Amino acid sequence: MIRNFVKKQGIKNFYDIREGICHQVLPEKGHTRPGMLIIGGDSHTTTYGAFNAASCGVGNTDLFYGYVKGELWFRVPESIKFNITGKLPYNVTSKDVIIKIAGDYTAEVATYKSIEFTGETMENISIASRMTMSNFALELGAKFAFGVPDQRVVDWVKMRTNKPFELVKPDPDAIYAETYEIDVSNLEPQISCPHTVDNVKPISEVAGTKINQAFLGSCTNGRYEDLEMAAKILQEQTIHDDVRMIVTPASKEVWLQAAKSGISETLINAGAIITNPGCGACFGALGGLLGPGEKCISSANRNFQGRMGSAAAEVYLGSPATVAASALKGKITDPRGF
Amino acid sequence: MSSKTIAEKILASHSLSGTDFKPGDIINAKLDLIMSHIGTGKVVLDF
Repeated sequence: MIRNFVKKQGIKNFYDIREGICHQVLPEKGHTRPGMLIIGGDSHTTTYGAFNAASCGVGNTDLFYGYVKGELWFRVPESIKFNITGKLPYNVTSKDVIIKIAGDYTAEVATYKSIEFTGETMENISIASRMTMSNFALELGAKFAFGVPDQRVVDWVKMRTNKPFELVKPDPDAIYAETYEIDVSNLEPQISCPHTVDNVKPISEVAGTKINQAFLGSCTNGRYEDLEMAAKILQEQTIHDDVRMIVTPASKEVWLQAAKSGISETLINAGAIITNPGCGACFGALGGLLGPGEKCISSANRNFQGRMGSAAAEVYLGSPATVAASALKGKITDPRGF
Repeated sequence: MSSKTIAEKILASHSLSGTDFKPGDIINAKLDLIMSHIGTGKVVLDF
């Protein structure tokens, strides 16, 4: 049906099943640039805030109003700021930071607000890690979720497109409804426990929980650096006998990069199953459906009851490092020891 | 024009009314890009 629609409408930019997840593919193809106003038919469209774009998910009615008219109504959101400082400890990632924020401030902290992530920590992390933050920000209710507008963004986008763009920075005296200060210097890996993203515990309180499945992928954490982090932990190791580890690269580009660099080989040799790129097991789209009573550690962004299969299953959210370490040990495991 | 956050600046540059606004106001804004997907197929209108 979608292929017929594309042909009938003469749409030039169509990315079929082989390409991967929208929130990875669009940036890779150079569609997301600073200063843009973007809507998408997927809630995690906030991801493009990492590229300094005002970007949000909408429902189908608004989506096709925009499609026909090229414009849309917006209620101007209040802005809030998370100022993040300190050096992330070894094998603690931006995923742990955003889960920590969910736990400390609840999943409603940013309802219909525009987030700006600022501070030295944000400046020092990769674009991929910033995408994780902007992606997960939707789970906090965010309308938009901007990363740091800096040269790193410019360099990344210029590699993907020749179209002109200009960074948009806030005025020094811009008004924010709230500013939250977060020091990550001593941050433990964080886990969103069943069945809400803001049911957060430090890993020391959850470690030892036996798992049946480990899922590494999704628009939150299915990028090359995520697979690379897992491969470092799983290098010359064997995944626990009682665990199926499913790795789903976020895009064809990530998939190929992992294949060429040897990361795929490392993961396969450790016992992981690598699927074609896409959303995969994140919402039960492809493989990895959980049975009653099963437990999964997942690098995705939602752990709602029944999302990955049985309503009697449990999903725990963590970083790619935590997923890999847990797959190795057969139980939720602190990755800082690897 | 008052001082603005990133969101306010981008919305201001796309606003079709041309008047200043504050948080809570409703505006119409020109879109740069629309993404739709069905399953794993993605349609992108890059205006």
